[in-house]
Parts: sequence; structure tokens; C-alpha cells
Amino acid sequence: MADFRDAAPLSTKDAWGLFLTGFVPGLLQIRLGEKKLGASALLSCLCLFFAGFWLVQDRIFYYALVSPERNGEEATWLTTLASLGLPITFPEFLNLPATVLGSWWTFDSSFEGERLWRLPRDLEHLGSFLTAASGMLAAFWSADAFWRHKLRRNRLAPGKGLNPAVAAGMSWLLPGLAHAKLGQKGKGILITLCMLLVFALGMIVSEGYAIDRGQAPIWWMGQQLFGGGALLSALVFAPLQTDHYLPGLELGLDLTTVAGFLNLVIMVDAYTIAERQGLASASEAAS
Amino acid sequence: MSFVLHYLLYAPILFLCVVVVTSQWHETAAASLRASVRPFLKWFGYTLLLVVVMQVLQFLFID
Repeated sequence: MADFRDAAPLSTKDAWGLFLTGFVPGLLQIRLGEKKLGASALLSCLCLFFAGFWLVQDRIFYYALVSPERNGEEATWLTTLASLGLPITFPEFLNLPATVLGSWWTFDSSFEGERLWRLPRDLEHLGSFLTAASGMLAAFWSADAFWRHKLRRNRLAPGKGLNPAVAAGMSWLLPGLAHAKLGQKGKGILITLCMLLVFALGMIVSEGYAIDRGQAPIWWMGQQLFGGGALLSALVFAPLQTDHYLPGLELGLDLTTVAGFLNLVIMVDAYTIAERQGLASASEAAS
Repeated sequence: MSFVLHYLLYAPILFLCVVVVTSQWHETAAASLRASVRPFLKWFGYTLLLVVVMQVLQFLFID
């Protein structure tokens, strides 16, 4: 394969611009002239978010890192931002327009409203997974836009091979899958085994209770970085009722969160391999 | 006894984590596994040292 050298490296200012436009799904694709793709990105993120939001509604404020709770006092700048789903309802805030719209629509600062955030909802595990998945989807759309921008900057047409953003998305659902697809089958299987062992051990020692957004929302922000595991838990384990002491719960929380952060490393690695292969193939086609 | 059991559980988990991190710089499973041994031993030793230091501090100032 031909070596690739970036003909037009990004300036810091441009890099910040790309980063910030990434919070609005599809905006960068539209700026690059790919309007249909941009509209698809925005629509898919909005639909996924509101499919989940229909189930969780204002319960989403309970999952936030910074609570918009006012306790009957005047709003501060922080609680005002929090009432719009900001600063952190991770990963929903990556899908900024939908998060702000949904939060603004349902926020109620009254005592009754604040009390309702604490009330579990039917199917909330599935709903909160879907709203979180919309945030991750927005991140993958941004990665796609960044990839297209890089090709455009270097005057290259997309070559053969897996889109790096798709590779990252595949790794989010099943670690190692994208590596196998990119030709590193043995390494992919090894990564899958390592990840699943750490994750499964966490679930076993916690008797299946480790991943529950309603009970441990802060841990869940790390755990959901392994999307396949978070989905499995939302559908199978999270609705379990806790009726006894769980001695292995803390270890289970640790292990499943470690699995999530390890998967972040795997997603970045899959993106990088796909990008390297894609650039080499596009350079070859151009020369 | 509990300390030994915890460390026995910690060791394989640390190795799995090291394999995932190290595999970023390698293309095959065999190369990733081979390259993981040295960093695993290094980090295992560091954490063992850290635990020993904490035990000594506990013995000196708390117990």
C-alpha cells in the first residue's frame, strides 16, 4: 500500500471548529455539500433520541452528572444549563439539538416536578439506552464527517474499505468485530475474548446488577461505552429487582466500567486502522 | 487470605486489560500476547509495591 502524508494538516482553529460542529449531527456533512447525508444524520439522531425519550421523559434529569435541582431557590447559571440537558447528561449531550429540545420541553422546576425525576418509569432501561445510543450515533456521524473532511482536504476520493466511523460503531456494539472485518481476524478474536471476559466477570460477581442506569447513573456513563453490553443489560438484567445484599456489586461496577473504557481504546484503534487503510487505498487510486 | 484472593483475581484482569491496550501497536494476536507479558509484569509489580507501601503506612499510622 502507498504511504500517505497529510497534505494539509489542520490548524488548531480549524480543529476546534470541526470539534464544535460535531455536536450538531449532520452539520459538517451539510457544510461539505452532502446535504442528503447531513439530513439523514440529523433525522436518525433525532428519531433515536425521541424514541427513547418517549419512555424516559424528564427522568433523564436524574441520570445527569450535574442535577438541575433548585430546592426552591433561584436558578444559578449551572442549574439553568442543567435544565437544558447540560453540562453533562453523557452521552446524550453529544446529540445536542435533541437533548436541548427534549430537556427544554419537559423541564419542571417545581417541587412536584423534581420529585417525579426520582420515580422509575416502565421500560426506562430500554428508553435510556436509546437516548444514550442517539448520543453515540451522533459521535459516529461526527467521526464520519471528520473522515470526509480529511479526504476533501487532501483532494482524495473515498477508496475501497470500511468507513472509519462505521468501524468505530461496530466496535461499540461488539469489540473486535471491526478489527476482524479490517483483516486483523486473530487480533479481533483476542480483543473480543478479553473484553467479554472482563465484562462477564463483572456481571457474574454482581449477580447481574452491575449495569443499571437508574441505580448507578454515573458508573453507567463509562459502562455504556461498551454498547452491546449496555444493550444486553437494558433488555435482560437491568429490570431485576434488588431484594438482597450484593457483596460483589462494587467489584462488578468496577469491572464493567473498566470494560467500557477499554472499549473506548478499541473503538479509537478500529477507527485508526480503517483510516490508515482507507487513506492508503485512496492515495493509490489517485496516483 | 482475602488479600491473596483479591490479588489472584486482579492478576488475570490486569493481563486482559494490558492485552487490549498493547494490541493497538500490533496486528496479530500472537504479537499482541507476546508484547503484553513485559508491561503486565511491570504494572503488576508497581501495584504490588503500592499495596505493600499502603499496608506499611496503615501498620505505622492506623493500626
